[in-house]
Amino acid sequence: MRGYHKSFGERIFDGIVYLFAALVMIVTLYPLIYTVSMSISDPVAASRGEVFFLPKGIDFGAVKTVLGDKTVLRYYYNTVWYTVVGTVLGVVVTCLGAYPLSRKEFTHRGIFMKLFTFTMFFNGGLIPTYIVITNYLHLYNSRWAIILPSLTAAWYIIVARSFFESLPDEIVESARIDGASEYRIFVQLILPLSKPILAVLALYFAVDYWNSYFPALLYLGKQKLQPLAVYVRSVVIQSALGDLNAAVQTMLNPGSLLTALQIKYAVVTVSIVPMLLIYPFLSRNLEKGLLVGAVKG
Amino acid sequence: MDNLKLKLGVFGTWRGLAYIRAVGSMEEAEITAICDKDPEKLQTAKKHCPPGVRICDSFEELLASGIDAVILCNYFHEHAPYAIKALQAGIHVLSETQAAVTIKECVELSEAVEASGCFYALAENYPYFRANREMARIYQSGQIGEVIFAEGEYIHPMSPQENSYYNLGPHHWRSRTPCTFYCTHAMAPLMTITGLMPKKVIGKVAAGWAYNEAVGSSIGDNYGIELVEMENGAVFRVGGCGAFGGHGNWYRLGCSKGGVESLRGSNDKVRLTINPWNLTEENRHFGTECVYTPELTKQGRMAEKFDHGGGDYWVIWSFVQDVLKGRQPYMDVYRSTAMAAIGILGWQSAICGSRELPYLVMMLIPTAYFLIFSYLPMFGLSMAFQNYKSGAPFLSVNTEWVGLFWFERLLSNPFFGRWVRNTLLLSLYNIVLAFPLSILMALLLNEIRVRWLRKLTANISLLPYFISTTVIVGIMVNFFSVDDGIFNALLVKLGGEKINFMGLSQWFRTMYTGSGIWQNTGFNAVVFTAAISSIDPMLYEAAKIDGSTRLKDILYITIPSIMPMIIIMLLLRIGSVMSVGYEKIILMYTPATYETADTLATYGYRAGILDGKMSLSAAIGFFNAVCNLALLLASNWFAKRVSETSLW
Repeated sequence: MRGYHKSFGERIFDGIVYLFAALVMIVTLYPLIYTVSMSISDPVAASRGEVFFLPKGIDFGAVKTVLGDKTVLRYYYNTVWYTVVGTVLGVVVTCLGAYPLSRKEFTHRGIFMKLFTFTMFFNGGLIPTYIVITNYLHLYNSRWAIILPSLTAAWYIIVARSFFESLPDEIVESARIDGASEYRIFVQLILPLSKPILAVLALYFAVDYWNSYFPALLYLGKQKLQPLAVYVRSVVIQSALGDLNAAVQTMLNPGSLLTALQIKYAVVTVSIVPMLLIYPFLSRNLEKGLLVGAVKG
Repeated sequence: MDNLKLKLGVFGTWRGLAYIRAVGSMEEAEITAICDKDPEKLQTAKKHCPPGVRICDSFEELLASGIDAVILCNYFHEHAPYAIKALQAGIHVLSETQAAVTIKECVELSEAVEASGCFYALAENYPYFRANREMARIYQSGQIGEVIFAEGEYIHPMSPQENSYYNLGPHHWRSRTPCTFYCTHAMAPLMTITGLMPKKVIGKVAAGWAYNEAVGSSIGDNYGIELVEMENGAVFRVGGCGAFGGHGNWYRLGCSKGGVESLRGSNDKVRLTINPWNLTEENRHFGTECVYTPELTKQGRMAEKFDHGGGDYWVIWSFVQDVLKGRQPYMDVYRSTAMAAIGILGWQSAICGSRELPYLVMMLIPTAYFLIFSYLPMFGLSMAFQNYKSGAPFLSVNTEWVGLFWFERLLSNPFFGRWVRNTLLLSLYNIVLAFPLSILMALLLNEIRVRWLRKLTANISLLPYFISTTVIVGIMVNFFSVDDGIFNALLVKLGGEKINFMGLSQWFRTMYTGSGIWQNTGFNAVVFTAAISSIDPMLYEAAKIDGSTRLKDILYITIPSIMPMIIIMLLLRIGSVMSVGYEKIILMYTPATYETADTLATYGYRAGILDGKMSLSAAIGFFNAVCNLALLLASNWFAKRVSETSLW
């Protein structure tokens, strides 16, 4: 803490800092709050442009309509499937790669480290990867085409490795003296001690898979396999930039007060609310994990 | 009885000279053919051979020269293939160490011996040392009981002169052989004395760079140590070819009723110990311990004239006797290959440690991931130089190679300039605007002195990073819509005119960069926040005493302290200039905004995925990847020169 008496300059400085904090929060939150407000406001108020910040006349009609649509539920199910499976496998594979690289006695770790980090700076690019997945692995129209290509990444491995390196070596040493195998040390000692980094990795992967839309665009022709992001794209973006989407048309029953506008807001709301709900619970571990990864990475 | 003489051929006359000399003293055998690729050595050897010895140019000629048995004295690592050839020709084999250098060779050699019906023996001379023969006699008499632990060591340092004489450069087998492989001199006497076969092995190597520098050449690790579990559960510690002072061999047996060992520094003396509580009427005259030199027979005294304590004589003499009498040699193919396996598996164990294997197993899936999804596509970049047809494998010879055709097509495209300009400008805006903002964000977050407010602000600023790009573009579309977007509504209220932000090319860069800042600034600030948090608080304390203000703290302490991190992050950004977020552009752009939105990567997507011009698209990808790498290397080089901070 600084001195008891703050100078004039100090006060100005503090003022600027708090102004900045307020600005950051408003700029960040306003679009999100506005989007949610629009989707749960009274349809008439929404369409007249009377909603500016908080909802005006609560009406969950638009959200209900979107969630009541069978295709939307299918998209939702797919996204949840990709997120859960991808997150579990991603965390496992990343830890499997990161833990040996954190052990000094693993004499080949230099080679693996080089092999992995090189992929951060050079890659085959879109088309060769596309051919590997479609021609070599025959994964077109398979759920695994979404899961496998982003199973891990060099950066995630580096972040996790830094965390494992920060654990005291004595744990491993003493377990070895007690006769534990390397697998057992990893599964029963290291992983339970690594919950912060597991949470961060899980968040990374969950976000990546929850938000992923490009692989679906490339590898999924079947509509029934596609994730929510593809639906958001077709309903919100393409219909705004081009024709109004047929899916939206069908939702707008004659006689209903709902507008395409509110449907679009509701679709966005439906896809961000799970993240907004989970986020406060994750944010505590998040900062810790991100800092560990950032400092040593 | 001349026809009963065993006709021997020698393959390799440098080491072979010892056997040629020894055979010269025997009546039961004679050297009838020799072979070596060095004419000088061949002439020296010829002088010691009986007149009429045949000089052969090749191994095949040697085998066809009518010999009964061949003595293999060729290179250390090449014995097994020649032994197999000889056995297939129906010729007995006396092989120098090492019998084989891979497990596959061990099996093949054993099978060749079984199939041929010929005799095979390893020319291991150390079991015939005077002390070792005495130890074998004592052990086999049963007076010291069963072996529990045994040690054998073979130490052979060389002077720089000797080393340069024997070791013919870094690619010679002497420089290349793993040190555990030369374990026979340490192991064979123990196996001969006890008659036991090995079961398991753990290896370690002792490196000795100081010695290597002193002898002026790289000879690898200095000492190979193997812990061998024998068939009866005893543990043998054997050390091979130690390259350090104290030339000599030493063997010890620790047994249930006592022990016996040779004395270091003497190949002749034996020290025998009987446990006091195991003394019986018969051996009481030993007392509990005695050191003595065993007597030599007449033949033993004769053998001493030859090298290696007479071992060179005994080896060839025993082999000749065994072959003539149709008796299986003691150091047969199974004992020989078992010793070879100790060297091979001991080396594997040494390089793996005991933990390497689980780690390698864990790395299997991650490594497979990178090989399949990162490295295989890199090979796929070859299609940029081919006329690739869908469905063909990478690097196929059946696909037509077209050189730089696709690159020429790309460069001559009228839109090429536009793509490069848009790519570079979008990246530039990102680096010039978004990047400094993330540093500023970290600096200001650090200045919020109220803890909860700082955490809250940081967490909220991070939030948009976790929202999908699709959704962010969706929010933008809703917000900036001409018809019912709130932004245009506000614009109209303020007396302005409606603007089609998403549909006009002059607004694209603003929209793209602005939304990027909104989404990523908080996240990009995290690394700088982390760097700031690791600054020593003493610096600020000291500055405060000197009357510094908070602004000056930032300028003169915080920013210089996080400069390495700033440079590293800047380098990483420069290394991805060509791959601007094309996934986001694809979401945002329309043909109407191509003028400012279309980049190399987005055109690559349209050409490759939508139009099926795979090779052209791969050429674009290749161009981008190479530019990225070149920019990264160049900026890293530059950063290293001016700031001493760099990625590597």
